[in-house]
Order: sequence, then structure tokens, then C-alpha cells
Amino acid sequence: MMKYAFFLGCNIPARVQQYERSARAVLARFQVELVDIRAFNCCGYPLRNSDRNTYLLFSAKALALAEREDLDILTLCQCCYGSLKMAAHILANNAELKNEVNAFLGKKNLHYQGKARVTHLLTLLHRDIGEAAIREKLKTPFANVKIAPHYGCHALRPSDIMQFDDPVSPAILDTLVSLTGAKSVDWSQKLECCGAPLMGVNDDLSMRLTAKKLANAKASGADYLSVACPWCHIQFDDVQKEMEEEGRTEADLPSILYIQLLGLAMGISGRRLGLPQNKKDICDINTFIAQ
Amino acid sequence: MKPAFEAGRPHGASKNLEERLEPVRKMLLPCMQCGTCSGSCPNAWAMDFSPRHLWRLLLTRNGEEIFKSRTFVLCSTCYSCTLRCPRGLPLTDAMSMLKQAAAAENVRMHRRSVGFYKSFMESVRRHGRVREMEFMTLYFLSMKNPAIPLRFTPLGMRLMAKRKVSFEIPSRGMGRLDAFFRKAKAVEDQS
Ligand code: SF4
Ligand code: SF4
Repeated sequence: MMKYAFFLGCNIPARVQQYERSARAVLARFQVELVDIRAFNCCGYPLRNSDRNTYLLFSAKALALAEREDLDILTLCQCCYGSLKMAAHILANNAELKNEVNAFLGKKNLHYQGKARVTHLLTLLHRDIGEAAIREKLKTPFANVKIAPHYGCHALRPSDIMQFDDPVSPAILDTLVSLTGAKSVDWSQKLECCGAPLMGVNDDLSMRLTAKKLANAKASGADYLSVACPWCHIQFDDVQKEMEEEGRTEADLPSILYIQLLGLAMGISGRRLGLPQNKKDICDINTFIAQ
Repeated sequence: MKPAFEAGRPHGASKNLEERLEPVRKMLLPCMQCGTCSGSCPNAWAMDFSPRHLWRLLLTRNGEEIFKSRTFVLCSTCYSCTLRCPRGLPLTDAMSMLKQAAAAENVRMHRRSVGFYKSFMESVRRHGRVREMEFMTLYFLSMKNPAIPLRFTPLGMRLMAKRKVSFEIPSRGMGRLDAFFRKAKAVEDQS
């Protein structure tokens, strides 16, 4: 039985609750035990570019909490993943900073050693659960639906620290999409930025990045985008909706969280997977389930 | 001539920008100006200086030009340049250090670029995790601009932007993370 400290970060509880719902529903079927640690807080990602030390304290606190329970961390968010891994890397290479962080964590009866490993949901599915075990659980696989997998930046790069997949030609999400019976389409903008980090900083540029990706995926024949990061999902779901209202995109290409796609192929109901919580309607995807 | 950048802090407690540039400059010394970073950057077309040009300005000590430019602000941290730089330079980190310097010194023209994240973190400071409504309220207030476009905001916020409902920021609550922020501030001031 696999057991993880379940790290949700900020965005999922605040804005993408369907991600948590669907992940819990699917992982329960694979006997993955998810331990909720109440004291978990933000990973610090939003501060990485304005206040590095606070970011490090936040990530170190999360890692220390998991370490205290002797657990590894499971995260659904690529930016949490990237931030936690990056923090562990920085602290492993800077003893002074590590001591400083520990001096502070000590007051909360915590200590950071660097024992807890960080796993992203996609890695858990692909590496630990494995294709064979997933295939066994498929009840209602898809047919004839084309999915454009969007990888997201922060799990892939910098690859020497992230060790997630090949940063130039990743395959993990394509493989996982194909497992569900859906066809993963190749598209030239696959590895580009979704635009989310610029939202709030320069909304116009952010939306241009998103529009470019949406148009490219659409032109490649995709019926849906599939993502595994709440920031990317907000961009392709909530923000795409706003863009439609402003006449910035006509792609009409909804985003489905990968775990929702897998859940549907396993016969879990759309309601339990939180499909109705997506801003752009994706309930029609059920029509692609093979009869 | 007007000063190109203005430190917003009244008592000059912070280090000056030139000093903050020094570690970034050291990091970039091996840059051979090949332009791979600019070629890899999805946002280079929107920047006033390309990433390669920015490094040149840094190496030739044109700090003022750097903080007048929008280049580092438009970095979306995609790490493509870091992946491809033939000299293996941590370019996304360098962009991040410039953003941090602008934030720490409160450079006026870059205030908006940190407003979003500062508001996000203020909400985290109060509750441990972000709360959407409050976060957007803080962002809205920090920008002091009711015309600011409130993208992907809940309906309540849109009404608020149109002044149909009033602002409300909940009380401090437990102040769960205040100590964290204080400590980080102390570390920052010492270094
Ligand atoms: S890719 Fe590296 S070496 Fe080439 S210009 Fe950019 S920073 Fe300099
Ligand atoms: S990390 Fe920033 S500077 Fe580098 S390629 Fe991406 S957007 Fe451009």
C-alpha cells in the first residue's frame, strides 16, 4: 500500500476543488492512502520572485512536516512540485541557509533534514502504480477523442533538479493519455508556457500566450486539452472563458484535468470527478466513451 | 533629469539597486552573447530588451537601463533559456533576482508586477492558504485603481469592481504565519 502526505497548496482548495475531488476518487481505487496534514500551508511559490527567503521557509516547513510523519509528499500542482523540489535542492547545497531555516522551524518543534521526497501525481501514476495496474482498472475507455497533452513548465524544468521527464521531448503525459483510450495529438506548442505566471503582472501578454497555445492545439485536431497543474488549468478554463467574452479566442478548446480523464475511463461518474465544476462545459466528453 | 528609478521607501533602509545587481552580474560573467536565451524565450518579442541584451547591460553595468526596462518583468519563468544556454547559466534565477530587487526596493514602475503576488501572500499570511475573495480584494486595493481588469475573478469581485458591493477584509484571525514573515524579513535585512 502506498502512503503519501497529500499536499494541496493554495490554488486547489481555493479555485480548482474538482482536482482534489477527482484525485481522491481515483487514487482510492489504487489503494493509495492520502494523509492530510492540517498544518500544511502554501508552498511559497507566489513569493519565489519577490522574496526568496520566505518562499524557502514555506517550502521547508511543508517538507519538515512530512518528514516528521516519515512520509513522502504527493502534490497535484506542478508549481508546488517545482517549488518544493527547488527548495530542497537549495537547502541541500547551502548549509548556512539550512541552519537558519532550522533555527526557525525548531521553535515550532520541526526540523528539516531533507528526507521527505516529493512526487507529482503523474509520476505516481506512471512510475509507481504503473501502466499494467491502470489498465486493469479501466472500465469505460475512450474512443475517437483527441487530446492535446499540455505538460507545464515547472515540473519539467530545470530538469536536473526536477527529474520529472525529458525536458525536450517528454512522454509521460502522452503515455498516460493514450492509456485511457484517447488519442494524444502532437502539437508544436506543447511545451510552451500556458501564460499563468504573467496573469496579474501583464494580463495582455498572458492571454496572448494562452491564445497562441489554444489556436495551435485546435489546429492540430485536438478536442480537449489535458493538464496536470491547477495554474495551467485556471488559465485554460477560467481565463479562456474570460478571453471568449472579450473576443480574444475562438478556439473553444476546453481543458480537462488528466485525473478527470482517467477517472472517467475507470467508470467513475462525472459528478464524483467534479466535471460540473469546470468553467467550460466538459460534460460532453462522456459521448466519446466507447460503447 | 528625473531619476530613472525611485526607491519607494522613505528612510533609505534598503540596499541600493546597484548593490543588488552585483551577485547577478557575477553569475552572468561567462555569458558569451550567443543569443540562445533570446531565441528560446516565448516573450522576447514583447520585451524592450531581449534577454541577451539585458545580460549585456548587466555586464556593462547599466543598472539604470535594466530597472527602466520591462524585460525581467515579462519573464514567465518557463526555464527554456536555462535549459538551452550553452554556458549552463541559471538565467531564470537571474530574472528572478532582478524581480526580487525591484520588489525589495519598491521600484515604482514595477510595483504592479509584484502587487498580485504580494496580495496573494498577504492572504496566505492571514490564513495559511490563500482565500480567493480576500486575495482579490487586497490586490484591488494594492493597485489603488478601480479600473484594473479583474480577470478570472468570482462574480462578487466583479460587482465590487463596479462598486455594487463594498470592500470587506476579514480581521487578522490567528495570524498564523506572521512569525514566518517576520523571520524572513530579519534574514533579508541581515544579508
Ligand atoms: S544563452 Fe547563455 S551564453 Fe548565450 S547569450 Fe544567453 S546567457 Fe549568454
Ligand atoms: S524563463 Fe523567462 S527569460 Fe527565460 S525563456 Fe522563459 S520567459 Fe524567457
